[in-house]
Amino acid sequence: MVAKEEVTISEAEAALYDRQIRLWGLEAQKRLRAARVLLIGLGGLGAEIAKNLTLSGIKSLTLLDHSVAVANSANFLIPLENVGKNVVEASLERVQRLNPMVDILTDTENVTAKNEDFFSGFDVVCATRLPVEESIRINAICRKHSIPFYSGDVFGFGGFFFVDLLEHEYSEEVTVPAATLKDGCTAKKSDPSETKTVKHTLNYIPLQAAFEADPSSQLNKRSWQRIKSHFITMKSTDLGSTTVAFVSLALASLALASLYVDLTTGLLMFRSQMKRDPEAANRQSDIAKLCEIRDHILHEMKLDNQMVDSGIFE
Amino acid sequence: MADVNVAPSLLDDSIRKSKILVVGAGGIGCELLKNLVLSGFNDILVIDLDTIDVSNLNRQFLFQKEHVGKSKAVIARESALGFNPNVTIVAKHDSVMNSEYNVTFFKQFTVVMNALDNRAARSHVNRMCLAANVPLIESGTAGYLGQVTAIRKGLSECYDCNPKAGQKSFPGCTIRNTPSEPIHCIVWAKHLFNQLFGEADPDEDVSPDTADPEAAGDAGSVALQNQASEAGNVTRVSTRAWAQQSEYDPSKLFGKFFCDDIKYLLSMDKLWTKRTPPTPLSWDNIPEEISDQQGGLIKDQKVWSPAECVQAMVSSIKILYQRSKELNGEESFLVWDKDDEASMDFVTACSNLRSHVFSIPKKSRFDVKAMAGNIIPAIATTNAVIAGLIVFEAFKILEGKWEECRHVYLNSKPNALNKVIAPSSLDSANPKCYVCSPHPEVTVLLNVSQMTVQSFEDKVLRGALHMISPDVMVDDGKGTVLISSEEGETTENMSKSLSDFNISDGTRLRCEDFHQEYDLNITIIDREHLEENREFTVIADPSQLQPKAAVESSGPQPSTSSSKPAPSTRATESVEIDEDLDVIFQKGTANDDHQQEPSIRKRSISGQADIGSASKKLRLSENDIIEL
Repeated sequence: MVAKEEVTISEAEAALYDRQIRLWGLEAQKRLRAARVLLIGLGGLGAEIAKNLTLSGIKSLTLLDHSVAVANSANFLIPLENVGKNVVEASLERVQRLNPMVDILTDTENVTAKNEDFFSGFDVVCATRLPVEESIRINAICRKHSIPFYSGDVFGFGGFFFVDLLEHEYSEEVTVPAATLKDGCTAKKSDPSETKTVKHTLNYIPLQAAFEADPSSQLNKRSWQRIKSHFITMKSTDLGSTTVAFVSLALASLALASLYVDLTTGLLMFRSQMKRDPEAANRQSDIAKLCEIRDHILHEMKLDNQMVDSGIFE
Repeated sequence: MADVNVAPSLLDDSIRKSKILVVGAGGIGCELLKNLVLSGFNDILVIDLDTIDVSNLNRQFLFQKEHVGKSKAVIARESALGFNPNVTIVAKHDSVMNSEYNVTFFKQFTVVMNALDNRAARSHVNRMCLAANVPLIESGTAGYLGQVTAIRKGLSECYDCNPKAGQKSFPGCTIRNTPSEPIHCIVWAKHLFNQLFGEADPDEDVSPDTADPEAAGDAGSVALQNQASEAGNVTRVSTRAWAQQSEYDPSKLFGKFFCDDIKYLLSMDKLWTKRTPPTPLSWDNIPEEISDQQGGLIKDQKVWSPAECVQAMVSSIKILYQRSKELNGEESFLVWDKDDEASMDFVTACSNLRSHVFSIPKKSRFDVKAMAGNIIPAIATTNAVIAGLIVFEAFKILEGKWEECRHVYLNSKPNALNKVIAPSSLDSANPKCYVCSPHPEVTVLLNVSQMTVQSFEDKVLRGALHMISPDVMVDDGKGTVLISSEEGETTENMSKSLSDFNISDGTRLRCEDFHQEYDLNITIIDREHLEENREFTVIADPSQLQPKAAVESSGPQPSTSSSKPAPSTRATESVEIDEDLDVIFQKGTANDDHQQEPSIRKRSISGQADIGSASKKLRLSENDIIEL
């Protein structure tokens, strides 16, 4: 959880964050101000996340990525001359410039080498481009330390993300309109409305549990039908910045979680076997490979091959 | 550093060959430029009239602290080029409403993308794109909410097809005599600023309104008599001239506005039979108040005590007076600016002093700034999502897949269909749209003997109907020219009233804006008084207009038999995003409560509402709506 130290907002910060303080309030800004966030993976999606978090005024952002910056990346934080360097080192200057008040830290190690102690030092962990096993591992560690965990990825025009906020308490402002007649020099209806605050609790599930769901159950089959049309299509690009807008839903429900995970597993499996994402240049053979993977997964899940139309791979 | 390959199809090619106009380089504009530059767009023109402010930096990420004060378009271009130096970006630090940007200019673009924050500009670009027959992607954000939609002549509704909810305005007597809410005091304080230092507007009088219909009666006339006897005559000295007599002595100003004028109001005792009467303040005896406010607040969030208000009033008047003395020539007035410390201090102090007088809860400078400055809260992520959606709509347009274009809503939480990002089919054009229908028509209710030609041009044609260089002819068989867009041709008409040109109930005016390629027929309906003492009302759907007899039934009307002074002028203060004057666009009768939000009818993508049907069904929206 966010450190309970007494946080004050300076005048400079008040001026910078004015427009957002007016939205989420000073209290929320103070909590952001105390938050230490870990961001794993700095591709296109990671860059977008880094930008948004840095602008919001968190305490610190640690960028963890062992990969090397390449040309044609959707990570807009890397100047051309930094191609060839490690991605986080290549992006550091531009991230820092977004908000000098945030501590930007870099770590070039491979995430697989990081142990429990490393993750426990953060208030929130955001991961991108993680292999499924790593997501499961880190999610479990975060759970143990009550750290909210996000993991997402982008595939061309679509993407997904997984969220585990453990036992999440939040409040909602519900508006009840109440028309009253106020005195004015003409009879004028003004509409002050009553807002009341309602508290809720959402219980999230760990990623591991999603894999353990039984896909052949009736409930899951129905969910499958419903979401089939939402599933991502396969266009072979990495439009990180634009696509991020469409990353999909919070996976609070077990059934949906399992299905999304299984479908995206196909793409992730492709990536781990082929060491790259499906691409336009190899359109035919990649589609064939995806179909093969699909068949394999569906067989494992004891589901009909028909359930995932190869048309989605177009 | 991207040279990203988009899908290897015709789309990729279309993107590469396209020419894009981005109108606005602010919250949405910065994110949009980033997206365009990374998505393979090669030829972009970005235009913005604004300069960078520190409050932009929480989201307009192409700008940094060192850029404050510089042109948004210019710096945005520079930063975006850093993401892909091979793209051609032209930056214009200019208003898109300038005559340079004519229909020919717009025709050069494949798609136009709006990233604006005000209706006037949106309406203008809408017309230019209709005239040029260029697809327009319209968008907007406010807090967590956002919208994107596509506009194409003949294929969808245009920006002006839907009536926009009228701007909130307050009657003059509420502002001048009987405020009951903090906003009334804030509006009054802004008017006071203009009366003392800015461009004086006769609609923004701050002194007690003796013509208040509620005050009519013995007391009022007694007060009038008293004033007459004290002053010797009843001729009005302008507030500014009066202040200059004492060289803006704060104690004198204080005495008039918070003591003498209040006493005057008290003498109009009919006003106070059902209301808490105001308590005049005394300069020598400013009440001290013990603050019971919580700690840990931003300095600006602390509510000032009356003593602190007086302090701030004194220091800000000193600064503002000095500034106005230093002005030379034409620009002899100051313009109120929420980001100017003294201007903001002045309004905070005066509105709170007035609130104190009227026993209205006081507001912190932080809150006053939002209300006085029409601030819309804003964050980076909403703009990022919307900019992404804009590019997706652009892709569909470039692929020629117009039928896939959608009106997309970004909700703050999942809607009834469990969608945070909720697409909805585009509505077809309003057959009676006052802009895009084949023969646009509106009806305007006003008082023909009171409305001057100048007012008609400024407030109705430009202000409400968003024309920029109108030509107006009276449809009287003689081709009488009322207003010409050519400089100097109709100057002598301006101060005359409409009735001087034999414009009366039912007269039609033929209006043309050559620049927007827009023709509009206006039918004038003569009304002596409109509700809320408005100066005019625009009716978008004239067939809905009720006959005159039925309309004049709301609110107290000055009786026609008594000799009445000139009716109160209305005070208009927009509390919406932009500086539009107040206008009602109604699809109903003139009697409708203008503050009622028109229910925006939107269909979910699964609903099968009758597309293209003349009568659009009104139903409650499932999405969080912001008015673009």
